[in-house]
Amino acid sequence: MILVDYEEESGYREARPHFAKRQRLPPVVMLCKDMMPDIRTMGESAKAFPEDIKFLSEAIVHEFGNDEYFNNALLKTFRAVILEQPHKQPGIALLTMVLNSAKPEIGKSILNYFFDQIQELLNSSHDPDYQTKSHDIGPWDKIKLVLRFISILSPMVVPDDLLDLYKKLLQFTVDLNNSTEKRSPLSEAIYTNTLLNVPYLFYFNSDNRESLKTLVEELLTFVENEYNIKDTDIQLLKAYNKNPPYEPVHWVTAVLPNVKNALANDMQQLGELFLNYDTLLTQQIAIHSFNEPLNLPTLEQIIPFSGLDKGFGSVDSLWKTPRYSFEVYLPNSVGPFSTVIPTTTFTGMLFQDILLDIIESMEFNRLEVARQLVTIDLFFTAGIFTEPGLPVAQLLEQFEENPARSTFKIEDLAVGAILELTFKLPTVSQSFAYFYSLLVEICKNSPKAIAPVFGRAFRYFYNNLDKLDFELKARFLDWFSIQMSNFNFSWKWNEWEVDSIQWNRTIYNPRMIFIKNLIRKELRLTSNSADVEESVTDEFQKFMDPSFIKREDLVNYYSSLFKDFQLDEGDLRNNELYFRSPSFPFHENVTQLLDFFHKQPDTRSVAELEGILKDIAVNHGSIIEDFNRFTVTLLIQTIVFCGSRSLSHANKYIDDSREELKAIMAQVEVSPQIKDQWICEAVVRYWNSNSQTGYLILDSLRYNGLISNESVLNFSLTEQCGVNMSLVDSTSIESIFRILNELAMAADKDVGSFEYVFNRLVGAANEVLSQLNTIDPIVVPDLDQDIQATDEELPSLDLAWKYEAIMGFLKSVLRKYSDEFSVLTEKFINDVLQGVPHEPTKQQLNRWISEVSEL
Amino acid sequence: MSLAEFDEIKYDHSCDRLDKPSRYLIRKARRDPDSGLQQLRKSMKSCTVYVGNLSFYTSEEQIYELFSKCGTIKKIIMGLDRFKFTPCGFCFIIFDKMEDALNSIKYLGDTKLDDRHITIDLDPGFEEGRQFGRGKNGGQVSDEMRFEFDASRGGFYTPLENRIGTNANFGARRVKNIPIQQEDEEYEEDEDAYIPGQ
Repeated sequence: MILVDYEEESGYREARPHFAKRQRLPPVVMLCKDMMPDIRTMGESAKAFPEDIKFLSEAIVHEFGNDEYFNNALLKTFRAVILEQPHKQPGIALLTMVLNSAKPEIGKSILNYFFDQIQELLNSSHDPDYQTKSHDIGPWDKIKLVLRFISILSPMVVPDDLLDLYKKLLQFTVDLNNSTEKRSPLSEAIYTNTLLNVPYLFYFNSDNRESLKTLVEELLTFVENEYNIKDTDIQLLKAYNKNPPYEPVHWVTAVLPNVKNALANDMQQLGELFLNYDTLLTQQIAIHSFNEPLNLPTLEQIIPFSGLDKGFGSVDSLWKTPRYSFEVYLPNSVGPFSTVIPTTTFTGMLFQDILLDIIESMEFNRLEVARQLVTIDLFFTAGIFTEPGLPVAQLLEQFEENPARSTFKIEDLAVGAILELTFKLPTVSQSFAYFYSLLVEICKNSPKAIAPVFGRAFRYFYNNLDKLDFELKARFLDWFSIQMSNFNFSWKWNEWEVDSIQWNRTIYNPRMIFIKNLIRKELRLTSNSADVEESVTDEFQKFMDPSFIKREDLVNYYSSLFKDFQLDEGDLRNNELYFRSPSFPFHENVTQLLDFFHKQPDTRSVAELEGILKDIAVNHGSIIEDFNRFTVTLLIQTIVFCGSRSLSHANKYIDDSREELKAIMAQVEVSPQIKDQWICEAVVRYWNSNSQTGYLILDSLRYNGLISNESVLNFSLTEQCGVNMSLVDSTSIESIFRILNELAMAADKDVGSFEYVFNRLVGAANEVLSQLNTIDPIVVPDLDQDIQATDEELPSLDLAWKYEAIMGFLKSVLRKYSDEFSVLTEKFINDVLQGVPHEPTKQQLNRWISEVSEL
Repeated sequence: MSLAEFDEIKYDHSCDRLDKPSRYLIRKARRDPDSGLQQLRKSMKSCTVYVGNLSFYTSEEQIYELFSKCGTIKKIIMGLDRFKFTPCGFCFIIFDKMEDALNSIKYLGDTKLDDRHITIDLDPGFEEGRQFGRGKNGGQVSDEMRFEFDASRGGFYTPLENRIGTNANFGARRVKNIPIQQEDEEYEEDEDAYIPGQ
C-alpha cells in the first residue's frame, strides 16, 4: 500500500502534535448549555423578547420529558432566575404559560416543582441544622419570591387554590403575631412579603381576574382586621442621633395601604407599573390545582426561629430588627420633586424589595449585580423613570418644561438600595468589601451617569455628619476612601474649604474629623502620596501630614525620657530610630542592641541583652529620667525599627524576640498596666507618621502576649496631648472595634473589656459635662444651618461636639455588642449610672441600656 | 483529565460565580493527574489567596487597608524578587476564615489598588519558597514576557539596547535575548510560571 509506505517513510505521525481528544458533550448537555443562558437573559432585549418566548417554548415543548437531565436543568434555571433576578419573573411566567398552552403537562410539572419548593423551604425554616451560604437570602424570602412567581401564573392556576396559599400564610402570620406581646420579626416579614405579592396575582389579564378580585378583597379585609401592628421605636437603631433629615417609613405599617392603593381605581397603578405581556399570552385551557395542601409549621415548631436571629439568610435577617426605609436622595434636594420612588407607594416599595433581593442573592457576582441594578427599568413600563443617566440640571429643566414627566432616576434608586444595605444597622449583611466594590463597579460601568449620583450621596452624608450615627460615619469614611482610590482621588475639595476655614481650630467638629481621616485613609491606600496631594486644594494641604500627635508633642515625649540632656529636634525623623542618631550620646550601645536583634534567635541570649542595658545604665544612667521607662521604650522601639520595613518584618522580629522581651519586662519593677502603657506609647510614637501601622504592631504584641487587650484600649481611650484619640482618629477607633470584635467572637467570652470601654466613655462624658457645667440637655446647632461662633464660643462648641461624639460612640458600642452588654449585671449598670450627675445624659444612657435586650 | 465537579455544568445560579478557580488553576490541575483535583479542592477550602498584578511599590499596609474589609487577615506574605529581596508584584494573604478568602476573590478581584487592577486567585495554601519570583531574573515570569513599559512594575523589562528605536540597534530584531513567546500552555510548562488569571 502506497499510503502505508508513505506514512512509514515520512514518519509524519511522529511529527504530528499530540492533542488530547476534545471531549464531546452529549447532545442534551450541549442543548442545555446553549438554551439556559437564553432563559437567564430573557427580557433584557425587549425587541427580542417575543421571539425568545416563541423559540424557547418550541424547543422546550420538543425536549421536555425526554431526558431527566434537560428537565432538571430547565427547572433549576427557572428557579435560579426566580430567586436571583426577581424582575425577570414575569418573563419566566409567560414562558411557562405558553408551554402550558402547548403541553399542559409541562405547565403542571413546573407548577408542582415550585409548589414543592415552597413546601421544602417551609420545612427548612425550622430546621436547626439549616446550612446557609453568603448568597442565601433565607427560606422566608425565597418563599416570597416563589409565591410571587406562582401568583403571576394566576391564569393557569385555580383561583381558590392560589388564594388558599395566601390565606394560610397570612393566618399563620396573624397567629404568630398574636402569640407574643412583643414584636415578632418573622411575623412582620411574612406579613409584608405576602402582601407585597398580592398585586402580582393580577399581572396577566385572564378569566380568573374577577374571582381573584373578590377573594383578594376578602383577604385584605381579613388582615386589616386581624393583624395588629406593634409599635417599635428603638433609638439604638436609628441612623441619625438627632434631627433626622427625613422621617423613615416603617415597612410593616406602609405595606397594606400601599397594596390597597395599587389595587384601587381598577388597578390603575399596576397598569402603569407592570409591562403588558397580555398580547403574548396564549389561551390557558388547562387550569391546574395543587396536588396537596400546603403544610405550614406549627407555632411550637416555628417560635424558636421567629426572632430571625439565627443567621438563616441575608434578607430574612434584615427583619431581625424593625424595618425602616433608609434614604439618601431626599425629595426636594435637587428641585421641587423626588428622584426616587417613595416607599409610601407600592411601586417604590416593590423596587426596593427587588433591588435588595438582587444585591443579596447574587453577591457571588458583583459584575452581574451592577449590570442588573441599573437596567431593571427595562422590565417595567417605560416612563416610570426618566432617561437613564440624565444629569440633574437637565432633569430640573425638563421638570420646569413638563412637570407631568417622571423625575425618578434609576441610578438614584439603585445606588440608594446598595447604600441602604451598606449603612444597615445594627449589622451589615455581607462584608463591607462587597458593597464598596459593587458601588465601584456600578460607577466603572458608566462613570458619567453614576459619578454625579455618588457626588450627591457624598454631599448628603457630609452635610449630615454631625447627626449621623458614629459607626455609620466610619462606614461612610471607608466607602468614600475606597471610591476615591479607584477613581484617581478626584473630588471637588473646594466645596469643603469654607468648613475648613471656619472650623480648623476645633478638634471635635465632625466635618473636620472626617476630612482629616479621609485624607489619611487615602494616603494609606496609595504608595504615591503625590496623587492625593495633587487632588486636594491648597486649603487642605496642611492635612497631608498624617502625624498622630503634633511635632512639639513628639519632641516633648522624647525629651521626657531624659534629664540634663537637650535632644536635637532635627534627629526626630519619620521611620527612623531616634536613639541611633549620631548625636545621641550612646548610639553605639543602641547599634549593639540592633545587632543583637538582627542575630538569629538561637545564637543570642538574654544575658547579652542584659549586658547592653546594664552598660547603658552604668555609663549613661545620669541623663535618663526613669530607667525602667527608658528600657521599655528603647527595647520596643528598637524592635519596631528592625521590623519597620513591613508588617511581616515587624511580626517576625516580635515573634523572634518574644521570650527575651518577656524576660526583660519581668525585671522592670512597675505595674503591668504602666509597663503596657509605655509599650503602647513607644510603638505609636515611633510610627507617629502612620498610626495604623503602629496599631497593627500593637495587635502583634497582643497576640504574642506582651501586652493586654485592655492596655491598648486604655491607650486609645486616654487623652493624649489634650485630645481623645478614640473620638477623632480613625486608626484608634478601628483598633478599639477590632479588639472588641475579637473578644466578641472568642469562645471564652469575657465581658470585662466591654465594661471597661463603657466605663471609660461614661467617665469621659462626665468630664466634658463638668467642663460644660450645665444641667440642661446639651444642644449643638445643626452644621447645615449657618453657625457663627466667636473665638470665645468656639471652645464650648468644641466641647459640645466632643460630648456628642462620646455619646455617639457609646450608642454604637451598646448596639454593636448588645449580646455582651445584655449579660452585664444590673448592679454594674446602676453603679456606672449613679456616677452620672447630668440627668439628661443619665436618662439617655438608661434608655439605650434598656433597648440592648431588644436587639 | 477530568476535574470532577469543576468540569460539571451547573444550573444552580442565574450567572457565573466569581469565586471559582481561574482558568490558569484549572489548566494546571488538568496537567497534574496525580494531585491536580485534590489541589483544586484544597484551594476552594483554603484561607489563602494569591494576589497578582500589584505595583512593586504597594506596601503590606496598603494591602491590609483594602483586604481587611473582607475579614480578619492573619498574615500577608509579600512576593519577593529572589535575588534582590524586593517586592515583585504579588503576595499571598492568609485570612482567618475560609469564607473571607472566597469573599476577597468575589469582591475585590479586578478592583484597583495603587491604580492597578489587581488579580486574585484561589490558592491551596502557602509553602515556604513560594514567596519568591520564579523568573530568570528573580522577578515574576509574567514581567519577563512583557514588552510594554510599566512604571509601577520596574519600567521596561527588555533592556534598552534590545528595543527598536535605539541608535545602537537600529533595524535590529525587535526582541533579542528574551524567550520567544509561545503558546500560553506550552510556555507555562517550560517555565512553571505562576500567572493566575491568564
